[in-house]
Amino acid sequence: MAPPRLASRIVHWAARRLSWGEMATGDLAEEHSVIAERRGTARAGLWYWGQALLLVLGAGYRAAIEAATAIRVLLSLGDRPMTTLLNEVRVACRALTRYPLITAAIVLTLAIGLGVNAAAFSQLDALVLRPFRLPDIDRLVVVSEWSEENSSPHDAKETVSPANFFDWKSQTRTIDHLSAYTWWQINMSGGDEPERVQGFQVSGDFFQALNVTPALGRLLNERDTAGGPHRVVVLGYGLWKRRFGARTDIVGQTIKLDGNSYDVVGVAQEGFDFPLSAALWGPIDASPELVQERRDRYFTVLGRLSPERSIHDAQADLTVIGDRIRREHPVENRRYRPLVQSFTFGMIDPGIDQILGIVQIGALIVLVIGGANVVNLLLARGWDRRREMALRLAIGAGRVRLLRQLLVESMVLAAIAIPVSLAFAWAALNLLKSAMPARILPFVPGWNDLGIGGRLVLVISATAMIVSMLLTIFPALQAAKSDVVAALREGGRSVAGGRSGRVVRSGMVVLQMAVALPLLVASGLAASAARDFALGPQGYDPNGLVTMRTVLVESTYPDAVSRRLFAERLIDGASRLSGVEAAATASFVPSGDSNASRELIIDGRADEGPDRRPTAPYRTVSPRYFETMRIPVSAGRSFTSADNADAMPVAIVSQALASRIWPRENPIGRRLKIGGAEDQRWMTVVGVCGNIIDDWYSRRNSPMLFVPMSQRPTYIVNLVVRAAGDPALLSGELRQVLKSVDPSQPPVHVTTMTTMVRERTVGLRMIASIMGVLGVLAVVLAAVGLYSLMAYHVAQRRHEIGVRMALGASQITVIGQTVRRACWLAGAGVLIGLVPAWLVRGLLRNIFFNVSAQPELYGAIVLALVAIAIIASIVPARQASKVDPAVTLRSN
Amino acid sequence: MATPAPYIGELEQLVLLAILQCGDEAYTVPIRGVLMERSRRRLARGALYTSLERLEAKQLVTSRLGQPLAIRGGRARRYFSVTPAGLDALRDARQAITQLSQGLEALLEKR
Repeated sequence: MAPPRLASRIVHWAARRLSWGEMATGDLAEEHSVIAERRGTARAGLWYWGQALLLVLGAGYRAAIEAATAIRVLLSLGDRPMTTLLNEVRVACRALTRYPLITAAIVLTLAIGLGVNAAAFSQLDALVLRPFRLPDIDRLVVVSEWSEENSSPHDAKETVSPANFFDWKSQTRTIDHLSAYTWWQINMSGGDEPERVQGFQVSGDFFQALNVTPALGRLLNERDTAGGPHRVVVLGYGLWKRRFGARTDIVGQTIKLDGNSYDVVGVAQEGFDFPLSAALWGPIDASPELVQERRDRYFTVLGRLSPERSIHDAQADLTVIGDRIRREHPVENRRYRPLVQSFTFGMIDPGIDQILGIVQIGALIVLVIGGANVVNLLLARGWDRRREMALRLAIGAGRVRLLRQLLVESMVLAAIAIPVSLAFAWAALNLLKSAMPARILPFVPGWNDLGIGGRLVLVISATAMIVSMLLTIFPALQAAKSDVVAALREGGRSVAGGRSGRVVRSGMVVLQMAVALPLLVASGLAASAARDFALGPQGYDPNGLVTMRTVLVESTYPDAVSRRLFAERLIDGASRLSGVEAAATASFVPSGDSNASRELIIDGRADEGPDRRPTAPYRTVSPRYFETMRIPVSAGRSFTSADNADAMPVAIVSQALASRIWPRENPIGRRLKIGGAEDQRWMTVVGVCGNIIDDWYSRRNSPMLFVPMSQRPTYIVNLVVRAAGDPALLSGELRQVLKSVDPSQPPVHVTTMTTMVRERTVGLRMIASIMGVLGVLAVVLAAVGLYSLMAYHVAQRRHEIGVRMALGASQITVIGQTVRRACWLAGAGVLIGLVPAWLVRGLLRNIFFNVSAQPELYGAIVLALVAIAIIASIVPARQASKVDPAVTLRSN
Repeated sequence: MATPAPYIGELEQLVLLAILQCGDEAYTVPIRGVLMERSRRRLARGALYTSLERLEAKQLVTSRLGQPLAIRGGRARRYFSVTPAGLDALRDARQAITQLSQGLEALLEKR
């Protein structure tokens, strides 16, 4: 009776290297047949499999022991490992201090390269990888809807209509606590000053989904949303401490929000301020109208995956539900499909991962360029140390031991570079943090976590060790390969590291140029985008403008007349101030935090339904708005006070909107109306105004529709005032004007327009600055690399140059040769680098919308690199030309 | 003076005794069977093989290969026998035990 075939093979394999393998194999076969006879084949087979398994385990154990022993032997060469290592560290330190300048240069280069990577990784980690610190975040998902007309779901995702949310919630079997939230900015009155507070309205199990606990009282639940409206709120920990002095009796008390009384039911746990630095949370009013609302999409939806369910299960589930909803409500949902994403990926701004990815790549390029310099320095030092190495080989040190010694040296270098690099990163991150305006801070989740943490230290230490080991390998192999006899012979002359060393050193310079070029192009493109959006023409004149926002409360300003009167009194009050040239109001100002768009129905064209209409940003402005902002009205007229509620409805379109809707036609006199609005009267276009940069992120020249404030007064009122002198000086007086019009209205963002633009573009400017710094570092390091290579090259060829000059070569010829060689290397690098440099543009085009080909930028950078190559080689070339042939020849 | 027999450990003593017990049929399978049965303890296969190799290296046992057998998948049995040196070593060990046990009978007697 033969044992099971597979098990038998396993036994053969496991026993093949054992001295008693034959014996064991035979015994097992024999015992198997005995057991089979006594207890049956099945039992015997099972027994045999068990024995095979035991043999395999034994073989694995023995292999592990053998490997461990081998490693120990290699590391210790028979000595006690720790003593040997300490000795080698001591020898390494001595060797490094013998070349203090080279050591310092290597440490500094490594520290710069690692420092920029640490700073970049800290941003990537804080803003992209872990921007939210929520319990069990891996099980959280974000559900949005994406429009099929856009290519990538991530770019095209949108918030969700309330009715779709309620349908998903009742039908999903894969997501628990599916919940929604929406913006709720409110005026908080009571206390000394009224205050604008960032709140969110949330569905019943929002807090359960996020697994948050109350610090005081309770959080919201399903009972707070159903059959409402329920006037209850949960305070954020920060607001509770700041505004209510951390009073524990706050629970059960009443506070005034937008003029209404709300009961405080609890305070959220410390540190919880999701989403977007929320200060308080109130319940969504799940009224019958809201549950039926399918047109407006303003819910952000999140939930927790049910146990044992994956994100793919949830996507499949939601897709089926989405298809059903689409069949039942085709008009509103024709274009939309549900999209389930991991919480972190779904919540971060689309594009930020790409931007910070590019920054990280830029930082890695700097490290590569610096690393190439380190390799060259190590090769040069290795050449100087060849006698030392040869001596040690001659008196019996093994080559493995020499190699190990050099690796230990690299570890010591890395160990010094790590703290220096972390200090660089710390300084850089603090600089970045201080540049972030408070207004933007809430919109950048994770920003407060920027810094040097344990995770970063680990990552950078590991990177430093690996990089430094990689950089040392080739120079160490070269050094350990030393030809004992040649090196010991006095005056022995050969080229350092031989031919392979020369090729590697030149290759490093080519590599530096090749990777510097795309980085410089990226820096240049980012800088030009930042210049265009932040400092370039905005389409209006931001200088001399000051702005103040306030949001009217529905209970105090229930109708259009009261809102119009408020705005008019505000404009009137501001206009009376001395030093004010003009004043106006608008529902939104450029570079603000919010936006509003409307669907347009064009007179004379078929209306294809809500989801096929063109849309445009929509602004309600007072008569002197264009004059105050200095937005040119190129055709027709501006709004006047005659455009009031009783007059014919009118509109002004931006040039971009005019050319989109009526290309090659005169838009003046054409009519359009707003889809879905209460006021369905046609508006006649009376003017065309210039394009402005409303928000850099939504591109330059975005089309825009303006309507007179008197005809459609809004709750949001932005006062814009043009000052004759310094606009910042007016802010105090503007607050007073608002107080005199309505003391219960809190002013928000009283600031100059230039500050608004600067703050709004801070991310873009930061990226441009970071890329600029990386670019400069790359160029400097590459120049240093080229310089040291040429200097070394000249020093090596001193003798040869002397001979040439003795034979009649002129100084110019010698300089020419050196410079030509530098240009060849730089040119080869630039040529290779052109390909990635071209690809970079495509990458950046997705991020900075206006990035054009800009051949002049490419040309300038290529020329600059070649110029740097020439300059870096001129000094060594001049030194070469000063070689005195007589001295050189005699010295030999 | 005769050289003293090499020192042998407890497992080696047991293996030597098991070989003697098996007589002419002293190959690995019955050796392990007898040893486990009479000493009432588990013995890992590898431990037995290693002990046998060690005893052979110390020349306390010798071995010879039998005929290849189908039941063993074509492999031969290896028969072991204890050498005179092996017997000496066993006697020495036993004597040491006996001498060290004198006067302790009451203590060591099975109750």
